[in-house]
Amino acid sequence: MHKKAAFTLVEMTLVLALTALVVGVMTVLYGFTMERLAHATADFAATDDAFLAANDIGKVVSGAYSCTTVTSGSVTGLKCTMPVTGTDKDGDGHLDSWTLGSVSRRGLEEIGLGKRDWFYLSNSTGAFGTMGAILWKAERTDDLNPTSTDAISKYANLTSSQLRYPFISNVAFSVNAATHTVTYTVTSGSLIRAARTPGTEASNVSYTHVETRTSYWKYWRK
Amino acid sequence: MKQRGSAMIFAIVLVISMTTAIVATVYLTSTIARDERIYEDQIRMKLAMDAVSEQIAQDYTAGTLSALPALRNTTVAGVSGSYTITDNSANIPHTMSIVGTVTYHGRSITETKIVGMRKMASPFYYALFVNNGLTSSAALVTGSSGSNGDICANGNISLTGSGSTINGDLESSGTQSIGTATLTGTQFPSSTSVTFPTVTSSTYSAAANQTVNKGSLNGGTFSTTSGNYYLIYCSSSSVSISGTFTGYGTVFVNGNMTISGPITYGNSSTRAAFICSGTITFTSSGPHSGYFYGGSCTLPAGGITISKGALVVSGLTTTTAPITITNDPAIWLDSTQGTKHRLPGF
Repeated sequence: MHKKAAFTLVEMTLVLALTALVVGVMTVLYGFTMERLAHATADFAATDDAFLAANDIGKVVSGAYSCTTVTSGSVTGLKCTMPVTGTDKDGDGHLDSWTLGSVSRRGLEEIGLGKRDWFYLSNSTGAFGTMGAILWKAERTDDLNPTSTDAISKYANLTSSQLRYPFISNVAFSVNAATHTVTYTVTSGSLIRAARTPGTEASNVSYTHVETRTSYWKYWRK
Repeated sequence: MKQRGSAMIFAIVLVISMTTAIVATVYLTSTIARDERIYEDQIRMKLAMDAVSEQIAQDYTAGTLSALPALRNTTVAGVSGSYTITDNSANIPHTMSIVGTVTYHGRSITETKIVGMRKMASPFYYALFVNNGLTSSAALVTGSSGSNGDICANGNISLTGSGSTINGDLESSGTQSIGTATLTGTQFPSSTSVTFPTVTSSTYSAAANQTVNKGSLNGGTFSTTSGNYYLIYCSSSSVSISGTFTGYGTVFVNGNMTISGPITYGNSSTRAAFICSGTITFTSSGPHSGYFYGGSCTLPAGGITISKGALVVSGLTTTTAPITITNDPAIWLDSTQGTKHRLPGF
């Protein structure tokens, strides 16, 4: 009689069990990887926003003639008086690199006074004094508080529907006029789930990054 | 055999899949650490450039960086950089341009910084220089349009008069009290004293193109010379000077000098210096033109006006007379002019 080659029931059962084990392990690994990806993305998003926003503020402070904090309502903003001489490197119509205009008789760097650059949190209107979670930059030619028209929309918004720094939840400023320094703290938060908005989330499902720096304003002689 | 082969393939696929998953997990979780390190590296590079630029400016002050252009390769806190330093005075007087390229962890950035050539000033850079305290209860107006009106005093400054405007900086080795004066520049109290140079009469006598032994000098024309400018040496111990002078030159008085009438320039190609080894007395309010140097200085009750030049004195005895001076920046812009005029300190 001709014998047929086939799997026994025990072998099939073993195969099914091993397959189930492998699929289970793979599923756990996939889930773990995706979970770590979500954590890493949230942490990076919070860190990135805080770091880049702090870079922006630090760049303006270091090029300023003077800085001071101004409070309107519950909002405290930073006002920096900038040199009149500079370069618009990114072509947005606003100076973003400043330089000295002259030197004193002893060769100390001096500048002429230019525009006032502001940083503050506000809502979508950009009005100073209205609390919000959007970091705005505004520019004026005098020392009055900025209005919505002074707020630079291209700074706060990358596109019509996308904020430049969507995860920033708080910005704080402290000025030391004696040492010509500004200490600024940018706080940003991000969730590890799809709706990543900072706010009142439970701490065990969100990442918060606090970036604190102190910058010195160079051109304090005029 | 077939079954064993299938099992082996199955095991290999399983190992590869698990390895891939583990590697992906490690890569993702290390992304943040890597990006934070990149951010920190950028800040470190910028701070290193700032530090080296400041060091270069201080080296220039100390005299260890005198020849421009210069190339410096420096490493600060692990950040290596190459810095090219050139004279930027053609764009902004008395400044240097520092172009630095720094490298750290395989990344490079290049930035250009303009810094001042910080050097001890000459008294002739200022509209008014007093080698003592400066006290005035009258109007003191220096410079115009925010420039050429810097004042320096090796002592305390006290301005109590009304109508004072200083178009520049106010520097003093002591304290400053400026009352209602308007200052367009910056106050620098407690600054390092600026050296008040002395004069040696014999040096001027030996170099003179013309020697005058009269007690008065009423204008004149400086002849054109090669090298340093025409020098008139007045040997009398007391000389009165007034009138119109033409050309580039210097008048030296071996004694006390009295400015008895307006001293004016004959044309736009004129610049004159009036130096004395003794006291300087203005009996004429001017307006005058020229660099005036002397010991103790006395002004007329109506005050003086120097439209273009400077007043450099060891002391001002008159504190109630109005003073109006606008500095001629020619010496500050080109120190060789100070040498040609044989100004003290050059």
